[in-house]
Amino acid sequence: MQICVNDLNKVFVVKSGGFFKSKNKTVVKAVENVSFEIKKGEIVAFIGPNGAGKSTTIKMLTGIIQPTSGTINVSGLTPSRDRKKLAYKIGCMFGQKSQLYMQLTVRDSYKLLCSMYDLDKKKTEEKIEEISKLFKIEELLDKVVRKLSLGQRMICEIAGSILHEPEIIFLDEPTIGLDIFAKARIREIIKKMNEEKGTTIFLTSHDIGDVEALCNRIIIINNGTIVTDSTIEDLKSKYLSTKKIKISYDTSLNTNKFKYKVDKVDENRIELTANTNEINIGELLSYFTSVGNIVDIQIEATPLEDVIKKIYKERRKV
Amino acid sequence: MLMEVKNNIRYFFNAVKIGIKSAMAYKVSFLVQVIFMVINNFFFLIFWGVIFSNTGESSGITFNNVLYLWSFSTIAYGVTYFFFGGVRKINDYIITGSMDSFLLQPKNILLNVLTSQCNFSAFGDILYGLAVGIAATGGDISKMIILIFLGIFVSVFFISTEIILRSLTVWIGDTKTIANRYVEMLLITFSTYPENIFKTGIKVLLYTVIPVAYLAYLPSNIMYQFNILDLLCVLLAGGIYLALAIFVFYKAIKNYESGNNMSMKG
Repeated sequence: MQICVNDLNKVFVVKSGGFFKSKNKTVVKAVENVSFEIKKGEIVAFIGPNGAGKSTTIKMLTGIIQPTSGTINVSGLTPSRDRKKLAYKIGCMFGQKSQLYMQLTVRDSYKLLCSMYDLDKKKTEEKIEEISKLFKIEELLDKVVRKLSLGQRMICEIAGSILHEPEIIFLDEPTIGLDIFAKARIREIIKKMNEEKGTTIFLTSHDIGDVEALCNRIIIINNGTIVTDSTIEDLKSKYLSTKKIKISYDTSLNTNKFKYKVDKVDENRIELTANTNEINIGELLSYFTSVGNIVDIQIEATPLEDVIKKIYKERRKV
Repeated sequence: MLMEVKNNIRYFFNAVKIGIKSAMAYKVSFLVQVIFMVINNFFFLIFWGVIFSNTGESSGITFNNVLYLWSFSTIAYGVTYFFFGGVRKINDYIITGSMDSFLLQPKNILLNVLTSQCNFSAFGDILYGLAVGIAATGGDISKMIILIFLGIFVSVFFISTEIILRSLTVWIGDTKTIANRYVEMLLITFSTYPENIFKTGIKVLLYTVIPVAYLAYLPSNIMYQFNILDLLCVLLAGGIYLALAIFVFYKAIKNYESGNNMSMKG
């Protein structure tokens, strides 16, 4: 396992009260008994609503903050103890923070980053050339970072985070604030890094599109605890058993009595909801084929976003 | 260990080189800032000159004495903020959560933070300090070598004071104003006035919590009459202040709780 987290907890003490009053201390459990394992080369989405504990977990995994209790092992190292050694093995890109230098050109920022990872002059030049080709950012290298568009900066940020060839990349909101073209480009790059270099990717995002396009596994966290840890496929089959089916016929139907419960009948069009765990979808379709001459059929699954909302709600009720 | 020191030194020079390169991208702004800083400092010496021409040199206070004080304080100030300008951002990095990026890199966090910014106008202070030093020493090469060495060394008092005060942000909230006032009102002001004008009570403060004696008075004495004891005092006090600053900084890092503000490295 490349990442192994056991019984992880993080507690923050929040002090409140006036200048002359004694301060009240409130204990906030940001992360509670979180455990999971990630294999080399996996792309895992770590998602949850705001304040769920995503960033706190990532910060503990990368050694930025210390856990209150529990154990973390990332590439054989303990982040809180081996911060410097770990830095050579991981790359991080936090969408809301920049590791590039605003007043420098992208190339100079990369040079400084390379010297941080002890790459010599020759290796630095080679690495910058290789990365700029991989990310197709040759024309951005000599631009000052603060003059880049948000999308260009994000791409340059990701490129900067892999200059030292990390084994694992932590991406926190990599597509935040980007338009659909920039998002697609960044997703393509992340996928490429995983396929070509075998890089393990740990991603948090509020954009379900990122999760669907990139990840094979999803861990959902809410109120500091893990709600779900499954493959995207398992999640879909568990929560996406309900299908919305819309069937259009070439002529008006002369009956509104059917073998299956129908939600709506509109002259030559019917709509129904079917639970694939209870109904054989094949039998259902062959029945409706026999009712008339079908000209169009739509079967819609619940979007993943709705599934996640449902999971959050279920958990809140618990 | 040796390799790590070597890599850190290499990183420091790279950071400085790139800082200067980025300053050169705004040549006019850089030159204006440097020139105005030199002019600004020069006016203070004019005032001293006027005072001495009216009242004469007395109580062991000479114009040359004032020149040395200005030379040490401005070289130290310039070295601090030109090469280690990031020291002024420690409180910001803590408040905004920007310290995260430094914690994610495999370099010494403190060195990385200190070299994260370069204050261009501080280069004017270095030039001014050297010019005043030449005037004070009369261009004596051996004296100039001692002056430059001491000037660079005593920057440790500015750096350490800034590190300690700004790191306190982790426990007491943003210390920007406290640190700015402390450095400007106490360190700079006291270090540009001769020791002899202060009474014993204040002198005790200047040899302890406000390290002005080691920053300017003792180095000044060394320039007049080389005394190994004074030199050892300066070196020892510098070591103690720096050790204390490193201790406070890493204690702060241990208690740092990060944050999620949008931010960019300056």
